[in-house]
Amino acid sequence: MLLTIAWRNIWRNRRRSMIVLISVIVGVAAMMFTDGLSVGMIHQMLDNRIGSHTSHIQIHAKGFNDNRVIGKNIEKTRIVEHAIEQTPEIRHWSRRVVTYGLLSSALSSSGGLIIGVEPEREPNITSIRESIVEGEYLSGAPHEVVIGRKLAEKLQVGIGGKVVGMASALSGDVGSDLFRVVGIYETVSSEFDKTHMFTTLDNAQSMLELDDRVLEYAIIVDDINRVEEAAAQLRRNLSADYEVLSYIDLLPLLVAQMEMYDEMMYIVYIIIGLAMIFGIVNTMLMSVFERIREFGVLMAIGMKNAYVFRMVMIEAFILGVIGTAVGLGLGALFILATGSVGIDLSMFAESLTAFGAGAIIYPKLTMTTVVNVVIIIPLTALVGALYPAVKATRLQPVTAIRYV
Amino acid sequence: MKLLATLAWRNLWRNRRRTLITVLAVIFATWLSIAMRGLQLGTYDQNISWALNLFSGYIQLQHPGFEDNPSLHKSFRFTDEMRAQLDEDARVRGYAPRIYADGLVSHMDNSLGTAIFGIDPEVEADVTRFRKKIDNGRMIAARSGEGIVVGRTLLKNLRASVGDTVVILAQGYDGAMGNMKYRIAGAVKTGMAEFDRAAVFMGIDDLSELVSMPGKISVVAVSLHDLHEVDAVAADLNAAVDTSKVRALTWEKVMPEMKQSIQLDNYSGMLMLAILIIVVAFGILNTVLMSVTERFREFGILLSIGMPQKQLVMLVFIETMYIALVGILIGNVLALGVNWYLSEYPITFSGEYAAMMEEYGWLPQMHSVIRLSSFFNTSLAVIMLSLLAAFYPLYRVYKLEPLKGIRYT
Repeated sequence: MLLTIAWRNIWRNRRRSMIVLISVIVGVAAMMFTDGLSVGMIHQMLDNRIGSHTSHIQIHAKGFNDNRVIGKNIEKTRIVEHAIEQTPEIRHWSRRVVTYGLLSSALSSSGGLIIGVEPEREPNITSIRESIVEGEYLSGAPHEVVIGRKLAEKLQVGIGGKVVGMASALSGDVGSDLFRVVGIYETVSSEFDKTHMFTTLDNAQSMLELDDRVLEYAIIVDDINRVEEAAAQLRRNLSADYEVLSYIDLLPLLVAQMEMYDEMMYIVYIIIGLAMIFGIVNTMLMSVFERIREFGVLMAIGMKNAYVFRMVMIEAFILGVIGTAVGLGLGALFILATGSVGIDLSMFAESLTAFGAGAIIYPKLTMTTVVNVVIIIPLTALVGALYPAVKATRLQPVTAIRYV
Repeated sequence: MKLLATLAWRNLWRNRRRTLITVLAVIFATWLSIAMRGLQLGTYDQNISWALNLFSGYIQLQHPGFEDNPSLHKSFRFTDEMRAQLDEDARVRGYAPRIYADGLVSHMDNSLGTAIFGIDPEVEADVTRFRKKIDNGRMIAARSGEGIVVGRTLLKNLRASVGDTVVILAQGYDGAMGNMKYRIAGAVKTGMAEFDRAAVFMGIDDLSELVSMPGKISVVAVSLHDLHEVDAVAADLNAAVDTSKVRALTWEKVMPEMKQSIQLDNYSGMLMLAILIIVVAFGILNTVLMSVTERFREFGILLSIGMPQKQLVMLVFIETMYIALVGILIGNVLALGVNWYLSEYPITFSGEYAAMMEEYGWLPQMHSVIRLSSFFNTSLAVIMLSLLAAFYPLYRVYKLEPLKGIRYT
């Protein structure tokens, strides 16, 4: 019954309640949209890293991630591949050779990562093949290399141009080979484009005297949320000679940034909530004082203080809940609408690509955003109503009835 | 007018609690907004100065094609006329010529890609600070013959120590590969991941020999006494030199990512504050509307005994202005306190957050600044939004008919 009375009380002063509602709705929707945009950007950064090279899980010889020397290679490939096949969550995997080297053209040279991949399987893992803007991806023939546009510009080579790749071979000598540029790719990160060059696995193995040895296994799992389980399963099946690293281990700074962002957003929501509290306190106070005589009568005929208190609190809570619900709906609608089209932030293009995000950001709705809103806003409405509700209960019925 | 002002003030205090709460809301929004802007702007300034003084300099002289294609072929001769131009400009604090090249550095089994910087250590001191970041060993002190200094992480990844000899392989100006042995004289910890991981510093003459590029250099890094003179000095330099061979670029063009990430952060900060002030403006709307509708009977009587409608509107307007102004005033004072405190005692981060900021090239520190424009702009925004919020209630007063007011329930 208190609920019905509270509900009707709210609508007795429609304009006032509407204004409070609108302020909550606007605050909530605006915050959600800003949140969605930022979350979208961070997730894009992560997806770009995973999709361009990192993949979900990597397997190396132990110690390779800290010190990427060719000596830390995987010789017993059969064992690792057997372990991979035993793990059902794994959808795709491929072998790679990854090493620091120097790529030189006739005019210029540049250092970076020389990556030997399996041309038929690697496209299941990364999106480099789809990122080709000129020429073609690796066909499997020897002496082919695919480089980023930034690198092609720096080396001043085009399709068909000749480059020499040099890196430390297994024996300690400098291994080198002549390559022809068959394709040029472009990702959202120009830094990546400048430092990652791809050739075939066989070619890299022969250049570096590796025979059949492999330096890295890249793995994509079915469900990214179950990555840690797949990694744990792999660790169980492999000895301590190997390290199994998920993208969380491989991109610690990015993951830390995502977690940090969630914490920060929490604080921002609280600040906006605080700003709303002032409006709610004032509104509830005014609504209580308007009804002092009424409260006096109610208390005189026997309504307990606790009920009066509860009634006022429920009124504020309802306002908070409706405002949150509508604001949530609006905000979600906005995020989902712009989420498919994307927001063009090309005036910040250079810095966005330096972060690895790309010039068009796709806002994203996350559970964290929704939970933050649903918990914080109605709570602030309740907190705002505390003082007025307490004032209502302190009324003396007789004085209240005679209030002018 | 004086009558209206007194009436307005007294009206506010007829309902003390409501007025106080509304003023408190304005104080909260103003104080928070100015404090946050102070932090944001202060941190930007600090980061810009820090980054420029660390390595890039305020202005760089480069070959026109170097910006798009930083290769050895886009180098130039640092002529005496150019030197004279810089020497004569009192705004220039110092300048340092450099050569940039890419190479491979090898130590025993380990080879890693590296960015090689040929520097003139004596003049670098006038321009940048990275020489002070020596972590191990010593900095090279001459244009040649003193060995190399490597980034700390690079040293670790090479599994080398100070005093070891490494081989550096690089492609020369003529296209041929050159390699030479060098002794590691020291290691630096600049705090910027890209440098610590891949940078090798050697004497500019040593690098010139390695890449067979006698007489030409890649850039001249110039530092000024005052950051804000950057555009003017660059313009003057460009007017004085032969821009087909060399031109002056401000730091904003040399490091556009820094400028843009600052802008991005700036705009998103302003957006958040705008949302904050809007929410408070709604609170003001509610309060003023409430106080106005409560007094409709009183207003109706005032109007019927002859008070001009416009004066009544002005009365309510002044009431709203009082609330906004008192709130803004106190908010400004509080914000001044906070900003002053944080400019003297900046917030320093540690742990994961610090590592993350350093990775992006930002200092793990938040520093505030007292900039009059942010106080002014925020206060202006609060006043404008308060006025906007009061529009509807003022409109109601404007349209109020005396009898309707008197009979209002």
